[in-house]
Amino acid sequence: MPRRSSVEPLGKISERGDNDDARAYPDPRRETRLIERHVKLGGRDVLEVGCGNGRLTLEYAAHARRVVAIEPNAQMIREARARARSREIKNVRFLTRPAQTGIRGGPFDVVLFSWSLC
Amino acid sequence: MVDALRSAWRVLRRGGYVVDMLPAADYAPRLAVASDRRRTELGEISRTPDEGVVAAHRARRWASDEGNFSHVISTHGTHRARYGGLADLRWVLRQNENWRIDPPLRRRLSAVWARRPEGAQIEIRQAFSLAFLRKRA
Repeated sequence: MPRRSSVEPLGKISERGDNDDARAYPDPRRETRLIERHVKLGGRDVLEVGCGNGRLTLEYAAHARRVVAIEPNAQMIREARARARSREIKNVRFLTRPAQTGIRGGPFDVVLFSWSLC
Repeated sequence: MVDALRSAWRVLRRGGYVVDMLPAADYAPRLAVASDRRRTELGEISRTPDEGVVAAHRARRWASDEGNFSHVISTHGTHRARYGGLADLRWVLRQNENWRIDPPLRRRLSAVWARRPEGAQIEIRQAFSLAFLRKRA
């Protein structure tokens, strides 16, 4: 389990949420391209598990039909919602849910486990 | 993860897909000092297996073995993260408790960092794995 740092050498860690350093992941545009080589997300109903602060979600959501994105960390979900609002993306529901109980609803065309070790 | 994949099977349409992006299970992160003009590879960061990652990879195999999903394709790639200095690197190490910079690598890092060109950053290259599973009826 990652620990929270008591110092913030990266500057704005607390604003990104717990251990949510975007640099630890590939560029979300590249991730989306890789995924769409094999599975189209455009026009699809997608459930994303472990969406964090919406880093990847907001990259593909605009052309999906509907996205439900779950994440157990409430702070990250608040951040994801704010980012979606600022980009005027309206087809995403960000929900504070753990994967253990949160994978429900649907039906979906794609379930995307986004760096999730649930 | 196994339970999560079972749940995913229940909410997917017939023929729907699970897309699973994970850190690679057996790739040691690589450390370098890089600037616009120059890149100095320093070596591998020691890493004990991350049990969560290993279990998640095992769950993928289970999903196709059990017959709920067919394995369509797996692929992998690497990505690089750049950090401004040693304090940032220490922070990264605190976030990844199973990583360790052994003394020889630490000495190389100190030496290269001490004579780094202007604008140089510490770079960590990691690998990821991407799998596509298709729901069987």
